[in-house]
Amino acid sequence: MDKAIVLYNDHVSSVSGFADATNLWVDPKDLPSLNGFTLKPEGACLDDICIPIRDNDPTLLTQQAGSPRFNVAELARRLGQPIVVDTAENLWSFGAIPAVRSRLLDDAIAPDFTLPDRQGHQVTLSKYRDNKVVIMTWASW
Amino acid sequence: MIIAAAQDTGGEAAAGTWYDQAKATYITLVDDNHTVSSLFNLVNVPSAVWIDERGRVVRVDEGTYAAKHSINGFEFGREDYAGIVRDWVQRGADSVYVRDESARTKHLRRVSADEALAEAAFKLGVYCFKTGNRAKADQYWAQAQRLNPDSWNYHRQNWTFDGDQVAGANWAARVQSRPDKAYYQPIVGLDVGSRSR
Repeated sequence: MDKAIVLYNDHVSSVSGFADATNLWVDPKDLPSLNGFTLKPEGACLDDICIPIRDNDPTLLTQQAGSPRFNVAELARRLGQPIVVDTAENLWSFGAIPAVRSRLLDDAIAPDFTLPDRQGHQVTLSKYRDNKVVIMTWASW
Repeated sequence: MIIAAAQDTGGEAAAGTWYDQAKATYITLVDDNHTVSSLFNLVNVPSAVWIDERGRVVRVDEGTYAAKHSINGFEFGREDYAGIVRDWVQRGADSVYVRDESARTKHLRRVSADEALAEAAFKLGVYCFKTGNRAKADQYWAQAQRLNPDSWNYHRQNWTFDGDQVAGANWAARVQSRPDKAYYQPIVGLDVGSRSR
């Protein structure tokens, strides 16, 4: 088993797995911390998104030394999620899930985020519901 | 409520002094991964997102300066933007600057497959930069720039680590090479059109 670094949704996770150029197999127990998904009888699910796993689909599920392994890269492909891989460093950067991203375009509800302020306090946008909010992006450059 | 989000991979070291000089009294974030730009499909700074009490985006993706600026003959910004924000704060849904829902969603940028891939590449570059691998950061930032040439964020964030002179020269050359491309989206109701309700 190798260590892979997974970037998703601004989280960096170090996970044991085995990989080639296009597939990253991890312990299914690690899925929630990697991308929020969990395995359920109906498939790999996140909120109202479920990718079915039929007949122990070997492109998604396999066994390694008697332990189950889940192909998180194949899940991303089925979700239409972009992936950029640095195979030399075993770095996997997963982009936004299209079905999640498109919600903003559907209903113009602001997507939530939590970021630290300069004092290290976590600032969560949704905590300011019932207020008008103006977000201003800027940069030093 | 004002939330300022510095799109600065250089972190507090890059953005903090600007906040200090501004004597900021609002919420000040240092968004080193450009999370806010990703979530609202923004490609340049400064950009504003107005959000009403129900969490709905009212206006988005506007080059929001509080004054006019001119650099090498290239002009941007306007004097009245703060005033239109105040109008919305005071009048709420009755402000002439509030847009109906279809107009709001229409104004949001659609992200192509290449642009979505660019975002993943950019964030991989940020990770490489933060872990001390500048060469790989440049490699993935260059990939992001190729995949999404309209993102000034990807270009300018990268250039800044080569120093002000290089960044300035690169910026000027790129602006001049793209005369047909808007540096910011027009501000609806101000730069173009009128009230769209």
